[in-house]
Amino acid sequence: MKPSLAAVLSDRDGWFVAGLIGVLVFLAVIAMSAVLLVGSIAERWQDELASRILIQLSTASDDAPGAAGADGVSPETALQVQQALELLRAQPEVARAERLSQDRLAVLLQEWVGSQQALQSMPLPAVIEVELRPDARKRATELRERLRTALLHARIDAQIDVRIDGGPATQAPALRLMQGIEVLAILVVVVLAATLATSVVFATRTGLSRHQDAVEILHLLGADEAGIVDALTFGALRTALIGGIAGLVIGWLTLLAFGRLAAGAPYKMTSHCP
Amino acid sequence: MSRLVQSEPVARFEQVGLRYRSGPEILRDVTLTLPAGSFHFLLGPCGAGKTSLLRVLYLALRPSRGRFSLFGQDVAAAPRAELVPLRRRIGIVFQDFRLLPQLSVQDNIALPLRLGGRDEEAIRSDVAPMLLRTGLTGLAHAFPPELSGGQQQLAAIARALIVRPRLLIADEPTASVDEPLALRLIHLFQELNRLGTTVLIATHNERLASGFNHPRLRMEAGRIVQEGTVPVDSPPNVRPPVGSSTSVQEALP
Ligand SMILES: Nc1ncnc2c1ncn2[C@@H]1O[C@H](COP(=O)(O)OP(=O)(O)OP(=O)(O)O)[C@@H](O)[C@H]1O
Ligand SMILES: [Mg+2]
Repeated sequence: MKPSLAAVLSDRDGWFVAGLIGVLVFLAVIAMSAVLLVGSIAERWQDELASRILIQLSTASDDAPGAAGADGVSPETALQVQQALELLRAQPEVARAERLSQDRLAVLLQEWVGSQQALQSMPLPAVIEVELRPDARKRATELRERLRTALLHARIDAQIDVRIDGGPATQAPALRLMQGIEVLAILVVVVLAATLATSVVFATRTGLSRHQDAVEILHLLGADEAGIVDALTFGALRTALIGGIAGLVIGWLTLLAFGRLAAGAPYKMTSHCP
Repeated sequence: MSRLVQSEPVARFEQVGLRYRSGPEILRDVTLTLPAGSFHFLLGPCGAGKTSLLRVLYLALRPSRGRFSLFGQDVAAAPRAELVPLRRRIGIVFQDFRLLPQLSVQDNIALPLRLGGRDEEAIRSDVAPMLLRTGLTGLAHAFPPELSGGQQQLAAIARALIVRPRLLIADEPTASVDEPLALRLIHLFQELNRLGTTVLIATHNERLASGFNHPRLRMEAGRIVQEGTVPVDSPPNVRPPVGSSTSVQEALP
């Protein structure tokens, strides 16, 4: 490309556009990496949640004072747990079915209840943790219903309160929040991309009208339409490119810095002293 | 030396009228022929329509009425794309120079060549002698706003001559330079004319035009009122003798 031809239609205002584009690209990089980060966290959560189904068993006898045995539930419930475990382990989708120890249950519940004291005064139910095979994870919700029916059929019903936890929709408000953030960040990226495209088009158009005189001279000196378009778009493209690359580099450096902060890795000072 | 008889005129105006938007008619019934290889001065008072006539000639404006053909092609209704090759055969010196302020003097001069798709090597070898010719070598890398009016005029002329045009249209090309330089410039145009370029120079400067043995066209209020070398209403001895170019040579610095 002829450098001087592009120079005809470039000017200082072009640098304002370049700066604008740089800022937009910077924001897009940050938003985009937020999308990727939140997305990957949400996916991992979702995967973990979907791979586990928690089944809570309890009988009316659990609520009676002193009914609980050494493992924290009544013998009646313990028996039901045993039956349920056998039934669950027979399911093809189930990789592992285990009753949660009371300690782990306490830790899990603490996250939702908040305090250790409140937990101690509560009777803890028996909870079976079912881990699904990877290929069954996507069908967690459907499987939950199947397991419920199977348990009912095995007469682990009537007085047994079977509650199956699991599945992203019912389980995790935090996950929903994450997905909300993800959607928001995608929206931000889309809006930024649209703004970027608009500002390039706008810059080219104002360039054309601002350079009307130069364009006329070029015509009279024998420029064809292609030559004029070349000069215009090359100029706009070059400023856009410079702005874009600057935004990209700064965005990338910012992410790098954040990555270091997150990893808690301070910059190491290398000492040359013995 | 026998010259080929070129029957095809470079430009022909027939009953051309021009108005700017809905304003009054600025050119009225202009009928004019520029034979190939001719050299004309176009004279007339301010606002007579000289620049407007030249604008039609260098294809910046289309006539509002009448017929106009350039290099044998009727351009009144020609599509834009067809005008490009015609424009590349024309050298224009604008009255207001119209140099591009973002480009250095040498890039301004090289611009028509670049637009014509010439390679950089050839451009360099053409621009350097042209800079020398117009005394702008020292200002090659300067930008138009840093130049004096006369220097800008020289750059504008260099840009018009660089393409070795078949038609040179110069609008007041000597308005910003001193008398000796003006004479030198006209000589430069004459040199080009001897090589076959058709030349039309619009100027206020009657004295300058009368120092040369070239036909003078006179415009008044949008009409060509007088055509030919010999003024109709003045005795022939007003015009300098044919050999007057020697006296012009004496005036050169
Ligand atoms: N772009 C334009 N729009 C409207 N009217 C114009 C335009 N350009 C020129 N005119 C008018 O056309 C008339 C002729 O102008 P033109 O520039 O052709 O005269 P000129 O003979 O070149 O004058 P000068 O010797 O001062 O250069 C003037 O009355 C002027 O006002
Ligand atoms: Mg004029």
